[in-house]
Amino acid sequence: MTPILISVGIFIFTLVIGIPVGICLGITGMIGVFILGAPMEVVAQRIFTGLDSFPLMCIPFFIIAGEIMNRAQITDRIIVFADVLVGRFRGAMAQANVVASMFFGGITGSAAADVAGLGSILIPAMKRSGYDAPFSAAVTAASSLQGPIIPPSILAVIYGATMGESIGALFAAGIPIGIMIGLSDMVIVAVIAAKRKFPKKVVRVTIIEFGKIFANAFVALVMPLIIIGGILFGVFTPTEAAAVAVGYAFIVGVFFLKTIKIKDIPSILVNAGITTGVVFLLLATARLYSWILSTNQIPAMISSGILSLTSEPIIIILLINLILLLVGCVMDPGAAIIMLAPVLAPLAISAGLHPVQFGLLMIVNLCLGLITPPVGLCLFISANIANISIEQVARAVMPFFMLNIVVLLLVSYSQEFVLWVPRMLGFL
Amino acid sequence: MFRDIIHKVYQGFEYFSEFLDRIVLFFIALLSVPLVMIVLYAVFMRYVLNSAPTWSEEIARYLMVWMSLMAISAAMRRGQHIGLTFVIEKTGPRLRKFIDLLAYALILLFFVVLLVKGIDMTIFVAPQRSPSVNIPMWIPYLSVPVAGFLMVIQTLTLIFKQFESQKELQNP
Repeated sequence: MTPILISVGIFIFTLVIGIPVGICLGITGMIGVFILGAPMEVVAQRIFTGLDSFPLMCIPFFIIAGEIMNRAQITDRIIVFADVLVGRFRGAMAQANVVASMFFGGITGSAAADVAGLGSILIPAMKRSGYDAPFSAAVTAASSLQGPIIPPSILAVIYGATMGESIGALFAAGIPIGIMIGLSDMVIVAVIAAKRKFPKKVVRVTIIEFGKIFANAFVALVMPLIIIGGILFGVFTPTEAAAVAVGYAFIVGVFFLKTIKIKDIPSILVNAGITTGVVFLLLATARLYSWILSTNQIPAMISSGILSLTSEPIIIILLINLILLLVGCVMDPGAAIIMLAPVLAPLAISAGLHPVQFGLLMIVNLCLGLITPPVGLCLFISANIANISIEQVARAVMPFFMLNIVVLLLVSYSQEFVLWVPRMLGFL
Repeated sequence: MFRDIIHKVYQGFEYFSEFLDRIVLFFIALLSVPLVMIVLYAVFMRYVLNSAPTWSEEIARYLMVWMSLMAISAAMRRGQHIGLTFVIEKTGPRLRKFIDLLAYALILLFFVVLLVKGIDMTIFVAPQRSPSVNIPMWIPYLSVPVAGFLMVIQTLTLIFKQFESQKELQNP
């Protein structure tokens, strides 16, 4: 029992006094190494080996590609296209926000990039058109969860690299789930729009205009196809596909749209590098912490603890969901995957989940933590852009959260739903 | 007198850490370009010339480790590493100062260990050579103590900044 108390206790203590999560994991890991009596060089060695991985290289590449696409003002084109698609419905801008996030999810792998990229344009625009600020921020935050679920997905890369599962299969499984999240957001928008009688606007677009708008957005829409298609046909490994995505974004931005000058490139790389630094500190120290957990055989203790409560698969899966939702409220999703995937996977698989299905279950659960207080990153960013308090967004985001839970249950209990795309594409 | 010294030390650290930060930013951009190019080159060679290079993956991995470890300090300087702040935000100013200093002390301890043990580790692996390119292993491993050093400097700067703001608190 003592190892659990020490490793969990120190972690919570450091977290509560405001130390960044990535460093909390490092401090706890370091103290764990000290207590174990292992040489302290292990700390340095784990940090290095935790990052020295070819599959993880997807992450900086996807971040660079997303940063280039964003800087190339591709966001505006996506928004115009989304508006043409759903502009005829009540609450057009809110619906377009959700659809734009769906497409944006195909060029970025993280929810934070999605909120920041789309929110900075859409939240002020929605407020100007008379939508109230909390609703505008809530739609943006909720729909951004499609970013890390629709491929490319940084979280899928982390899960795949940690558990040795096919990143291609995880990407493929993310497509219908991400779209379901988006559709459930659209249902909520439609209900709220009908209740509050948001105005309808008349949209008339000729076929030629539509073609033009589609062509403008096409350069962005094609990116997930290159990534998924390339991995699918065995042309690229995920890391190579990500590098090709960078090359593609570069050519589109510099030569095709001409919205990026060569002199912008260093600052794009620096921004992307700093974002990578944040993610990689978490990855490296989470690896160290997870090594301490497994050396102390804590995963086995936790799973035997849960199995002593119940052996009913439905209840076990429900418990896993609850644990992940709670962890997601305070933890960064990527770090949580590295720490908890090895702990919970054996339990989940014994309850009948497929490893890929469990990966998506983890991703959806932990993403929901991004829109729940107290540390929902997406709430925080969107509240900041909308100039309102986190509590106001948190309240407005609740209906979206509730319906997303239904999608989560579908992921938890329907293997057919999660695995049909990867099976159809031949990943499994 | 004491405050003057603190102020001087803080200014020195601020100056030094800004200087290091510029070098770090330069390296991030500098290392990212070959990182992408090498992986693209490997794809190109495999498909077009049908001969995949054997060195590309290893070199790319080491470039990535160097780039990302250096970027950690740039992110620290910009307050990008997120933590849980809602608890400490509820504490009073005096307690808050104390908690912040405790937090910085623990952070500093971690990165000092990373620096010192990173040096030991680098010396330990120095005679080894990498499996496919045959470069000395101290080259990739040196990134760990360098990252530790950069973080120690950034953290010390933040600690002295704390003392600075304390001074302002006492003499408004």
